[in-house]
Amino acid sequence: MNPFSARTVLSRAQRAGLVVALALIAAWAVLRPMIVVQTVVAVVTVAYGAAIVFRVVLVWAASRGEHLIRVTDEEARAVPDHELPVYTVLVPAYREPSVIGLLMSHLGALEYPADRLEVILLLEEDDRETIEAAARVATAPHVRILVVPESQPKTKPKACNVGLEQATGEFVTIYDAEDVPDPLQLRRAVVALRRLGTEYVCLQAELGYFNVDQNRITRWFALEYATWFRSLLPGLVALRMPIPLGGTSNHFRARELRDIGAWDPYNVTEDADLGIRLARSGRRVGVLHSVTLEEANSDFINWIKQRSRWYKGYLMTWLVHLRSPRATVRQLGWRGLLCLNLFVGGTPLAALLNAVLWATTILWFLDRPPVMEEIFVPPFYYLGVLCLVFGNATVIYLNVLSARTMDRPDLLGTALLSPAYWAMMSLAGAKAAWQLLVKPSYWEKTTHGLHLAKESADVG
Amino acid sequence: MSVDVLAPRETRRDRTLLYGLVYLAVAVWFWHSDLVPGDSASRVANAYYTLFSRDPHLAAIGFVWNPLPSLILLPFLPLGLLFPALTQQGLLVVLVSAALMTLTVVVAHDVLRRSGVPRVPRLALTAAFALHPMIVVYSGNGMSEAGFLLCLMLAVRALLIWFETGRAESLVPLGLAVGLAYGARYEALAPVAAVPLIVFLTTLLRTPGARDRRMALARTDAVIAGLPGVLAVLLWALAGKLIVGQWFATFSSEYGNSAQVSANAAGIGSVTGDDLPTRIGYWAQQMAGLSPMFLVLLLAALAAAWARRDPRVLAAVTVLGSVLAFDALAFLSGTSFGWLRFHIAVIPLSVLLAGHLIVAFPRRATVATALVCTLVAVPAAIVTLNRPELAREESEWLTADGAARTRGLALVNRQVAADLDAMGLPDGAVLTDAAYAFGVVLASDRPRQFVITPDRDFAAVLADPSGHGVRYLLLSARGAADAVRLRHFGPDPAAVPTTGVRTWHDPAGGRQWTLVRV
Repeated sequence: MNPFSARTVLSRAQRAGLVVALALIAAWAVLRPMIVVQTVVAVVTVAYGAAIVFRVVLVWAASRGEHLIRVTDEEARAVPDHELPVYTVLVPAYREPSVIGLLMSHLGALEYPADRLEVILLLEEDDRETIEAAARVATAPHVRILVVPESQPKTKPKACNVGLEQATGEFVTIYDAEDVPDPLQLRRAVVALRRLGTEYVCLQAELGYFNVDQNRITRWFALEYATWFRSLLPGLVALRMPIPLGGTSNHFRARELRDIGAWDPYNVTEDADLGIRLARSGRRVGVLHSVTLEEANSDFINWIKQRSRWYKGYLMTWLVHLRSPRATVRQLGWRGLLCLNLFVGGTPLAALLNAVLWATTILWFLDRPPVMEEIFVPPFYYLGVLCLVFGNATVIYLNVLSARTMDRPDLLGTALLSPAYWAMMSLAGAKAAWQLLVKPSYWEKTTHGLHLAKESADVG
Repeated sequence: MSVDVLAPRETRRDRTLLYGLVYLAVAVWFWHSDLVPGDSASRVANAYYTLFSRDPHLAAIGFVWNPLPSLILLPFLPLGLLFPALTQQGLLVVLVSAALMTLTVVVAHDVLRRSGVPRVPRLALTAAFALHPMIVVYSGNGMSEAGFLLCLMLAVRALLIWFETGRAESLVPLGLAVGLAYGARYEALAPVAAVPLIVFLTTLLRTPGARDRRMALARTDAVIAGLPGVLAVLLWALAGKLIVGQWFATFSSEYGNSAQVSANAAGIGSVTGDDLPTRIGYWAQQMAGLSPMFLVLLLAALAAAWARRDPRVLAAVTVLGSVLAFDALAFLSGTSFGWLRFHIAVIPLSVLLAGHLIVAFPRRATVATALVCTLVAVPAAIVTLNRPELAREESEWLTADGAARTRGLALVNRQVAADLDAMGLPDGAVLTDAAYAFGVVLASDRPRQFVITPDRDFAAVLADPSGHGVRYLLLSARGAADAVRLRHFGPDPAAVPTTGVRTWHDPAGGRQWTLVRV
């Protein structure tokens, strides 16, 4: 049994600790309310400042030297077919009949011998429509449809675990139904994993978007991903920190994946959690220079749903890994702890706090309530001002840099308009926090196919 | 690792140490001779108020002068509690300028190395920069020039690297260096504008492909190179507006540069001339005094760059040249004091131009000529620094008469502080304008006895001193904008009573301070 499962988000000890802590704080707040508020503001400011500094350090670390693993086309193709291992591709899909046909053509483009490829479509029992659509197109002998029996929790990681049980490949990867992977990605992963040795058990391929120019949201999203995969993750690699995996295109050695218990079916960002668990077990993850194109979420509501699920999952992952602090410290070390707190916990919390902090700033300029001067004690006040001014400027600046390094100078305006995107993140952060309290394991389904013509888009 | 790899690194460290020692000696000399300039002491004072005044708060650092020269001192100020000379006598600021100038030399050497200048001429050029009398003086006097030159040199280095690699990442240190330079001195407005422009043009011209795409790339590159500088200007202005109500206090404040220039217009004009031709003559004399062959080096280096289609010389020309042009325009249009130090950027620029010439024509004759053109600046500067009409500020430290005046002012300030300290006054008992009294406040063991301009209740106390527990007004004799004197005795300094009050005079007999009972 996975000790870090999000089946229960807070362990009994955590829950007890939280209750005691809240009770103490409440009691203290009754006696000395101002000190409590001042302390909260101080702690939040320091954590926020640390998260910004951490981000800058990651970008800086990533820019010093090469931390993406590169395999050239020639190297990828040089491996003779008979030396390639059997490769299992898991494709979990739910209510996506319209993209299944496209999926087959994208997977068909993979340059990998069919007799060494095993594609398993993971479909849910109650999703007759997709099963039927898949049955019509999945005619090749190496493609299997695996209907996941109805059981709770009905999540993507649960389906993947079912698929992994039946997978015969030495290597395993996951693609979403709408993904367009680089045709040489499997070969590159094989070459890279063999070259890196057994210490490395997973490679995360870069994710990008094929519908960047659909609207402003997709442009922001694309820029965010470019920063994430070109700067932040390579930065984590450079600093030898845990890598929170992205939802698709992670390439595993199947045996090691089974050894550590595969995906946590209760965690709604099972990928990020898996990255931390890999680090805890002392295994390493690399970032592979090979792009899988996904569909960027172009619809505001749909984007909020998806993002709130991610944030909820990050918060979950953060909490479950803080469960046994001594083991966490021992297994992750200080680097891993920094990553866990400032990156995994920090990303959703910063999104959530942004709204509160901006509201405070606006309130100050509108009304200048004297109580705020009391709340913000000088050193933390100055730190807060620094975060407000330089923090925001830094992140906008890094976005401009991303636009340039991903060779998309047309995204300059999008980068400069980033603050509007952060407002969306704040909304998602609030929704995530609320949902973590009321329905932690609920999987906010993301609708795919919005880039297709209106009438054929399916809504799940 | 072989010895060959280690050797140059070792010597480089030793050489840096050598220049650092020279600068340290100069710094100690300035301090020991009581010659720390007022501008340097006021930067220490601005930092000092944020921690040790009656009303410690960060905004006390003030908005008339750009904040970096004071901010950089902040972390070291608590040491003043252990070694009072660091703050009270300005030792800290001269030590910091010596360290910053040493770093500038290191960066200058690295720029020459990256430009491809061979070892021997490179060492000679580095020495020509590092031991230029003007650089030596400004390494040890605590003025903002050392920090400013360091930022500019870092910008030159980053721009040079970008010209070579074209990597957008190199534009980040470039942008940051220009932004920092604005933090040090407002002349950096020139590179804040010029650097993004040159980056824009370079990308536009050297990128292959369709025009739209080239434009988009050029725009993005210009934003990466320019945003930190533009933000530095905007945020500093915004902070000034929010805290003291002025967007650009250095231009609009009664204590700022513009006000000082207009107050001293007659004095400036009598030395530099009032009309354009005379001013141009004065400016040319100053420039020639610091780098006689500058124009020759500039034209030759630009011609060589054009012939070789090598844009790298533009790194130095853009960054340092724009600062020189800015100061020249400010002076010629009559909005600056025309101090010699405003042309200090010509010194590193000449050295770097000579370096580019040597790289372009590595023949013995060219190398020798370029070196001579650079080294001739050393004797020229020695002569210039000894001509008080050209080196008006510097002669106040370097000539016997000027040094006596400067020392006299420092000593009278210390005497005022000692006498006030001896009176055992409570906090907030002495009201004074810190724009003039910074030396007194700094030298005092009891800085909290003063109510000073940056205090948030200054305006209220000024309006009703006795109601706020003020017992004395400390008035400067000549401060054109002394807020306390203007408020209580009007614009005419002669209106200040001379009997029944305590006064302090400098060694030449000039009255400097008057203490009036409320």
